[in-house]
Amino acid sequence: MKFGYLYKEAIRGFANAKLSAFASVITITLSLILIAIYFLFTVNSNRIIKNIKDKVEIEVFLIDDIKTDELNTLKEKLKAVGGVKNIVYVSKDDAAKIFSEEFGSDMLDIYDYNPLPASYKINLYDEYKTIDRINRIKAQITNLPQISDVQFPEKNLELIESKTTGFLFINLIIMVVITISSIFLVSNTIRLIISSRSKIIETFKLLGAKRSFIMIPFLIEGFIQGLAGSILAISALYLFFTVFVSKFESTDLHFELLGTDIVLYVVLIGVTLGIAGSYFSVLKYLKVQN
Amino acid sequence: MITLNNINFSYTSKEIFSEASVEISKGEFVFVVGESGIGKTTLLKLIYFDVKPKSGTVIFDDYNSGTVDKTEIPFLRRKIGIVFQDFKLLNDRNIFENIALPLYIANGKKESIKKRVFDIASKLGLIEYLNIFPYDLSGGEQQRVAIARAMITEPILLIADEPTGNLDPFVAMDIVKLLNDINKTGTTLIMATHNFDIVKKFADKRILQLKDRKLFDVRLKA
Repeated sequence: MKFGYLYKEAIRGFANAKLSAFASVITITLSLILIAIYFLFTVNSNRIIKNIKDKVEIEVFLIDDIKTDELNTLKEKLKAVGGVKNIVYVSKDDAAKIFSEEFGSDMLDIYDYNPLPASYKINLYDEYKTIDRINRIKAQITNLPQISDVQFPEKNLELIESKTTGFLFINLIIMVVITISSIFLVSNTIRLIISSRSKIIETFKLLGAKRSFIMIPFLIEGFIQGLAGSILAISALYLFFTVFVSKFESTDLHFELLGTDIVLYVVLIGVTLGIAGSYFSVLKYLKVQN
Repeated sequence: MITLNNINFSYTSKEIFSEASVEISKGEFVFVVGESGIGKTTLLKLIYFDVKPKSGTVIFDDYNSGTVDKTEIPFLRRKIGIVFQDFKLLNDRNIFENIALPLYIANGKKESIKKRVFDIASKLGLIEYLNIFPYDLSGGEQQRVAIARAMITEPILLIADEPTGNLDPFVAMDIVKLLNDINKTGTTLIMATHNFDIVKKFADKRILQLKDRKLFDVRLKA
């Protein structure tokens, strides 16, 4: 089979149905913009959640007269608790330093002694950062004699836990809706193009063309439409994010925007939409035609 | 070459063939006659496997409708030249490309395609039209292009479905003479028509009549 001839057929197809081909490219572009925005929304939301979770740590406050050897023994005991990623010791002096950095005034200006306790900050693995698991850890260590108090940001965790389930569910619904509507829109537009060329398909079949001979030009067209649609979508997103980034660049939130991987995904999805849309439409038509 | 054996065929609301049988030998010229809508086109479609009989078998060359695989049908059709009632010329390409289409489909070589198109176009008086488009030709000229396209692969069977249906009587006669010449070179020819004037002028040919959902050989009275 001569690829050159089939490619020429594909280009002829474009020329025959310029308006429909343009409509198909625009449909693919809009679908890709929706998919990309949804994808970036998900990635960035997960990033924000992870950011909050990363900051979740257990603060184990120590009694004032703890001895150095007790410190090491306690550290080993804390390490033995399940899920501990690392433990950092914050001495009384360190605590005072952190206080003055955060509040801008020296502790010793307010009191004539340092009232802040030394502590161990325990960072847990992500899967252990749930209220239930932390409370279990808390129960395990809170009665140790060297420990005066154990605290963790329960409110933040509560917020994440209550919102994440709903968020994941809504995310799933949005994903299903966007995917189905994209496939539906693209395949319908392509089907319009193909039905407008039904006479050509029928003639080809009756003249002895194999399915592949009929199919390949449409797949090439689908590929070109998908590629054109993804280039347009990337350009539109790039313009949008150029404005968007300039608004947010002063904040400390680092958003995931149009990285190389996302550009590649968009092109891959666009080309797949174009080719799959063409394939299923022609296939359906060939079956109807017997 | 072609055998229809106890064919039954019907569309949803209409029975077309009931236990119809016929044999057509290599090199024959057969007129298929009958009223409009009686099933002449369906008979031709059965022969080029565009429709399948409900029961019974159609055998063309080595292909049997009961056992043929779908993937073999394109190869079967490459042995048949078909001249359609509505020509089925493609308006998005010029006459050269229309005539050459079956060769492209059969994966012919570019140089040989060019030579064969020029050969057949000169035989059928179409050389001057090769660069223009079908819609610029008269009905008779379009029919010649359709015949050229059907003959380009040198098929063993040429099927013509009402090839004179839309033509004036003089052009119609020319087309049938052309088909007769093709048949004389050894190509089996089946032509569906409801034009009895033409059939009468070629009374030496075999005439198959469709009647009462069956096929009959008929002879014209002298």
